[in-house]
Amino acid sequence: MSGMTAGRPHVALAVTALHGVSGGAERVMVDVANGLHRRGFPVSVFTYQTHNGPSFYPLDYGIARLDGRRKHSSGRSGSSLGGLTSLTRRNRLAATGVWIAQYAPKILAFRRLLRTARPDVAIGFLPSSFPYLELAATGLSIPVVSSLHNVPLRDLGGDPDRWDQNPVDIWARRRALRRSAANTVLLESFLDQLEPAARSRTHVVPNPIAPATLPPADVTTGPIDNTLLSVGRLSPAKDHATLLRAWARLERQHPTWSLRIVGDGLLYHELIELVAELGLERASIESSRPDIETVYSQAKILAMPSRYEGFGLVTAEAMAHGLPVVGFADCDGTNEIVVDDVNGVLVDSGADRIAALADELSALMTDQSRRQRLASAGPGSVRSFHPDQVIDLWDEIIVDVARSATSS
Amino acid sequence: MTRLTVCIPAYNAAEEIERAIRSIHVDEVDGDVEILVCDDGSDDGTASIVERLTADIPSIRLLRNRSNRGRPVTRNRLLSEARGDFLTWLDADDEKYPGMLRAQLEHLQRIEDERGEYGLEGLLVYTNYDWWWTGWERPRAMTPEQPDDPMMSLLDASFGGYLWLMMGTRQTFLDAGPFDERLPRLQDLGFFIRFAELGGRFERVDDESPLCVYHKDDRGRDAMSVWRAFTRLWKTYRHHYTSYGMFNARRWRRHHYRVARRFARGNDDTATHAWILTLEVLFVIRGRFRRLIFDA
Repeated sequence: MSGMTAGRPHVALAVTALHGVSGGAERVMVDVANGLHRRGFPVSVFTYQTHNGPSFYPLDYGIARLDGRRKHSSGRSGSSLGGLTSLTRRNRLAATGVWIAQYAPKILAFRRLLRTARPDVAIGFLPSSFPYLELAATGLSIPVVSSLHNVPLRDLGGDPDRWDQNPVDIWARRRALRRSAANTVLLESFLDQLEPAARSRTHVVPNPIAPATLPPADVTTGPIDNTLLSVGRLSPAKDHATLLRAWARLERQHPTWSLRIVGDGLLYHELIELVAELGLERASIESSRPDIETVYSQAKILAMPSRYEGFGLVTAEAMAHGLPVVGFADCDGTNEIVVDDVNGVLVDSGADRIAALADELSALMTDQSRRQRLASAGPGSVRSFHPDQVIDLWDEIIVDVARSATSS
Repeated sequence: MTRLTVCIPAYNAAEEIERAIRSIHVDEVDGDVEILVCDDGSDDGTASIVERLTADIPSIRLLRNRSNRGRPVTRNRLLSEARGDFLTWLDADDEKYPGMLRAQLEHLQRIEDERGEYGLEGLLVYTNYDWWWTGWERPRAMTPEQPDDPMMSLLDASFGGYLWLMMGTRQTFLDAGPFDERLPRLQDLGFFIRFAELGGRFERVDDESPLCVYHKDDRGRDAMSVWRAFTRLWKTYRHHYTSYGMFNARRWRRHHYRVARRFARGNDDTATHAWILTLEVLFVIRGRFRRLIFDA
């Protein structure tokens, strides 16, 4: 396969799985792969997936797809070792043993793919690929870029629900960030969460947000059906319960308004019960849908009750569609995209999150001219997330890393 | 603007080349057709026959290799010289039936109307075909199923597709190329595996009838070179084989031994047959041994 073809370095993008996986980071990876390929970069995509098959998000023709997993190579699967979590926390030796048994095949698989494809630069997406890719590249003189897609502290062991809690794995993640040729994080504020040795080589590369294809939402108050919208996975981090409780205080006062929550997730039944318990009449929860653009364009305000966000994809998308966004000032992600009183409202959560949110929402629901002012700033404030600009950033990092690798 | 290029590699094909070229019905194509023949250093006058035909069929353009460079080099030369928006192939000893070019172009046009220009990227359109062994009274119709997983259907040899069945945009062929010049045999398979790796897919035209004929015999099919070609493919694309599981990989690899042995038997080449059989036995023993260790 290719080495440095026609000046453009050959890029390999590694991720655990693409077949049947509809996550946000996978979508970004496919967008980046297609974007680079259309600019003439030779692109390969490495996976290590349990099931072979086409990517959920379509990759362009011309991008090489290579899967490193040797399926059925043994009757065991790595995941069964995940049950040993408590042991790995107590015993360092056991932790190392379990980690090696679990991840050595993945490291070797990535190494085989690196040797087969011989890319000039390899980029690992998410903590489930870059630590192993970095180790796999040892001695191959292929520079590795590690790409984080959430709040770094949470990705590096700060959230018990994110990634493997085995201390050896957390160490491998930190090590990769220190030793990679470059790292990427989604937001400027995330840089402070990295240790200095990692920070100095880290670039801020946001997620690409495509400009709206529909005209901006009409945020003037109508006689009926004024929608307060919330979009996002129904998970604890998104805290839809706070929004429902805040809505309970608003429903009577604002008879022309209704609350529409769009998303799927584990908390669906719990939230439906809460709607009943609060006796809400104009609050709905519906499944996420492909025509999300229409949903944005029919709303008046986007409410973002999240406690934390890896980036704020929905916030940025809503702004692109001309919606004012109301979110919490202490929510990473939201607070970097929303500028208070410019393109949305940042709620100071204070002692009572529910009351604070209800007050700010109520104020904005009754003030049409302010809504229009905030909404009109939306599209402009996410212009720097335009796919062309995001691919520009990747382009620069890749060319840079490839150049310093060949010159050293 | 040339609409379609038909690429024909020719080596010592004086007997059949005229039949092949005359089977191309240029009037089925709405636009200019280029019949691009590359003579690979033939010593039987193939080139002069093609030259004579040029008077009659102005679409012909003849390229010549100074010496015999082999199939893959010839195919790469054809690919780089072709000018058509679309491209297809024909081997010098085979024939297209009337309607083949029309059916394929119509299919491609429909896809372009439905999915836009990008819909044609990475798409090869094929037809059913007749398979005619020398000595048979009539051909047998072959109907390769449109594969759901192109890569798997190539590795497990369930997809009987050949290059001369395929039509696509010239760019689609260029993106998957060049042909591996170290593969004297099985260039089709090597090319298709690379094509599938890049996300390419095959679609069959709606017409069920065979639209071309493949004249086949075992003349000069040296079992050892077939064997070496399979081995090169196995080594180059090992990761694709193993990504379907070690069990499948070894099963599909074993098929290579069987095919090479079939050629050796066909040529009454007992020594080669015995040699490949020995390698096959060793391969099977090695596989058993590995399973004993890893599955214990």
